[in-house]
Amino acid sequence: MAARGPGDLSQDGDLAGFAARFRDWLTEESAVVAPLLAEHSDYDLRVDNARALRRLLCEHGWGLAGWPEEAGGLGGSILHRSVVTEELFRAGWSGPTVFEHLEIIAPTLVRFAETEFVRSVVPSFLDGSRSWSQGFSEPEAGSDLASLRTRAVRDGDDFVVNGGKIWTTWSKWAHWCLALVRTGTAEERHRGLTMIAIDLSSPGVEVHPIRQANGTDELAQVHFTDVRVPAAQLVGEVGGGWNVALYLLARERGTLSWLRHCAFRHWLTAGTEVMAEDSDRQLGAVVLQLAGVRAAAARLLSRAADGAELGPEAAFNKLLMTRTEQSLFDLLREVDGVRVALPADSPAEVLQQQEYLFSRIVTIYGGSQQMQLTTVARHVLGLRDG
Amino acid sequence: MADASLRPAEYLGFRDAAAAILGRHSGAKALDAFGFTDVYADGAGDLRPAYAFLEAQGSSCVSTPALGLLALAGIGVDPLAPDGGAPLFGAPVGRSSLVAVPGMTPEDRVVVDRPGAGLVAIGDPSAARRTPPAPVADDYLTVLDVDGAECRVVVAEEEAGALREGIVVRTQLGAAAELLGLTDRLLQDAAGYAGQRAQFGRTLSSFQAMQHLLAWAATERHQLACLLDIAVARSANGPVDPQLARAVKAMAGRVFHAVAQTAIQVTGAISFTWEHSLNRPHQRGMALDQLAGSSADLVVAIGRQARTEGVVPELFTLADGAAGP
Ligand SMILES: Cc1cc2nc3c(=O)[nH]c(=O)nc-3n(C[C@H](O)[C@H](O)[C@H](O)COP(=O)(O)OP(=O)(O)OC[C@H]3O[C@@H](n4cnc5c(N)ncnc54)[C@H](O)[C@@H]3O)c2cc1C
Repeated sequence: MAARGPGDLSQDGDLAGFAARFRDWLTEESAVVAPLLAEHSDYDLRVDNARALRRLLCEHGWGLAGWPEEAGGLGGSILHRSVVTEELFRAGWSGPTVFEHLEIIAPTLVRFAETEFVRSVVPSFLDGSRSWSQGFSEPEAGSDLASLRTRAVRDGDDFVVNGGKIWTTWSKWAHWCLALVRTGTAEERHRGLTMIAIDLSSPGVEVHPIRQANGTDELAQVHFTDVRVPAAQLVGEVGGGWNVALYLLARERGTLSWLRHCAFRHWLTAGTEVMAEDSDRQLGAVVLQLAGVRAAAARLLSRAADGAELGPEAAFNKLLMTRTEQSLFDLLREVDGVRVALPADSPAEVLQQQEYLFSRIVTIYGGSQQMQLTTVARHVLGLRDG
Repeated sequence: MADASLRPAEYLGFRDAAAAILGRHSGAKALDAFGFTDVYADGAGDLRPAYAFLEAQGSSCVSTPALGLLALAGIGVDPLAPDGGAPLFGAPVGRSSLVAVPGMTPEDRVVVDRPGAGLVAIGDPSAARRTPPAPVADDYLTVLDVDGAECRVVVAEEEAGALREGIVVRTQLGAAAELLGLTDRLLQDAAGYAGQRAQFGRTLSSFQAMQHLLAWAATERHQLACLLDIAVARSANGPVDPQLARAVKAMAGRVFHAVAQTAIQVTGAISFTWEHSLNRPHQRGMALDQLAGSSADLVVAIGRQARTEGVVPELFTLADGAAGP
C-alpha cells in the first residue's frame, strides 16, 4: 500500500512524492477542504477559513511538515511548506491571510526565541488557533525604522512597554505582536533596539483597526500603555533587535514571494478568460515576470532550506514580486476596467477590486521599493554615497 | 556580479574556466582549449559546460562558433558531415528566409532547418552571405539568405521532426546564456564607470537616481540568472521543456535591452561613440535577441498560449530539485 500522510521529510527525501501524497489527500478530502478554499470578500470569513484550514492541515500532519520538532512540527524544510502552499493554490485557493505571517514570523521565533517560549507559542500558531502580528512601523518611523520610539524599560523580570505601532497587519485578529522596541537611547539608532513578543490580551494594549482604501480593515494601530511583558518573551538579545528584524524582513521580502506568486498565478489564470488577442503581448510579459518571481523565489527557498543566510538579495525578490503584482493588476484593469473600477455587482468583483487597490500599495509594505533599490545598490552592487 | 554564492557552483566553475581561456583565445582555438566538442562527444548528455562557455563568451564578447555547434550537439557528425568537421547551425531570424550563423569562418559548412525538407546543408555559404555595405560594429553573426541557395538534404523531414525541438531548445538556451554574459558585462562596466566618473564633485554612483537605475538593472539580471540556472540544471537530467527554454530566451532578450538602456543612460554621451566598449556588446546582444525567436515574438507567443489554453505555465516545480546551487 502506498505511504499516506507526509511521510519522509528528510532533506534528500522525495519532494515530488510528498507533493503527490498531499495532492491525493486534497482530492480525497475535497468535501471538507473545498469550502475552506473558496473566495470571499468578507475578510473575517477569510481569516476564519484560513484558521480552519490550518487546523485541518495540522490534524493530518501536512501543516506540521517543514517545521522543527520544538515548534511542534514533523521536521523537513521550507520546501515542504512551499509545496503545500502551491498545491493548495492549484486546488483553487486564493486567500492565504494568516498563512503569510506564519511564513514571516514563525521562522523568526524558531530562530531567535528561547526554546521554551517556542514550544509554548508556535504550535498554536501553526494550527491556526493563535495568530501573530508584526509591530515595527510607527507613525513617525516608516522607512526610517531605526528612529522608532516605542520604549521598553526593564523592571524586575519584566519589561514595561510604552508607545504605539501602526500598520500592524492582522492585529485585529492576532493574539500576539512581535514588537521592535527601543531599550537603548535614540542616538544608538538601530543598536538600541530589541525584539519582544507582546501578548495582545495584556492590560494596557489597545488595538484600533484601520479602514483601508479598499474597504478591508487588515491594518491597525496598536497602543501600549505600561504593558508588562515577561523577559522570557524576548526574541533575541537585548540590543539585538535589528538583526532579528532583518531576518524577519528577509522572509517578508524574500521567501514569502513563493506564496505570493502562487496567488498571482491564480488571478492571472482567472483573468485570461476575459482577454482577447490584443492583450497577448502584455499577457506574455506578465507571464514572464511571473516566471522571474518564481525562479528567484525557488532559489531563495533552496538557500533557506540549506540553512543559508538570505541577506540583501531578498530585496530582489521584493522588487520582482511587487512589480509583477502591479503589472498583473494593471493588465486586469486594462482588459476589464468596469469590473475593477465601478461599483461591484458580486462578491467576486468586490474581491477583485480589493486586490487591485491592494496591489497599488505593495511597493510600500515590508520596506518601500526605493528602500529595496537602495539595498541592492549598496549591499549587492557595492555602490557608495559621496 | 556579486552573486557567486547564489548560483550553482559547478556551473560557475565551468564558466570561469571558459572565461580564462577566452581571455587568450578566440574562434576554434578557444573551443579546443575548453574541450567544447568533448562535452557532447558521447551524445548530448550534460551540456552545462557548453552553456557556461557561452555565458563566458558573452561577458568577454569574444567570437567562437560555439552556439552554432551546440545547436546540432549530439545529433552525430554523420550524416551531417560525412567529410569531417562538424557543421554550424544557421539559426532562423525573423519570419523570412534569413539565418544567422555564429562565429562563422569562410571554411565552415552550414546546416539549416527547412521545415518540409528537413535539415539541409548550404552548398556555398559564402555565396548566400549578406554583405553589409558599411563596416559593422560586431561581426559575430553572419547572416545568410538561404532562399535560392543550393542545398542538400542531410536529415530528411521524417527524422528531422524528432530533432527539431532539441535544436530549438539548445539554440534558445545557448543564446540566452550568452545574453546573460553580455548583460553582466554591460552592468559591470556601467557600475564601474559610475564609481569612477565625478560630476558636481561627487561620483555618479553616489546619486540615488543612478543607484536606483543600476539596482533595477541588477534585479532584471538576477531573475534571468535564476531562470537560466534552473533550465541549465534541468538540461543535465534530460530534455528541457520547450516552454521553459522559450521563456528563458524571451526573458534574456528583454532583460538585455533593459540593462543595455541603463548602461547607456549611466555612461552618458561617450557611450554613443563607435569605439566605446559598450557599442559592440550592445549590438551583439541586439542581434542575438533575434535568433531562434526574438523576445518580442516569443512574448506574444507566450501570451497567446496562456490565453487560449487558460493556463499560466509553471515551467518547473520545486520538486525538480533544480532550483538549488
Ligand atoms: C499593506 C501594508 C501592510 C503593512 N504591514 C505592516 C506590518 O504588519 N507591520 C509593520 O510594522 N508595518 C507594516 N506596514 C508599514 C510599512 O512597513 C511602512 O509603510 C513602510 O516601511 C513605509 O513607511 P511609510 O508608510 O511611513 O512611508 P515613508 O517612509 O514616509 O515613505 C513615503 C515615500 O517616501 C519614500 N522615501 C522615504 N525615504 C526615502 C529615501 N531615503 N530615499 C528615497 N525615497 C524615500 C518612500 O520610498 C515612499 O515612497 C505595512 C504597510 C502596508 C502598506
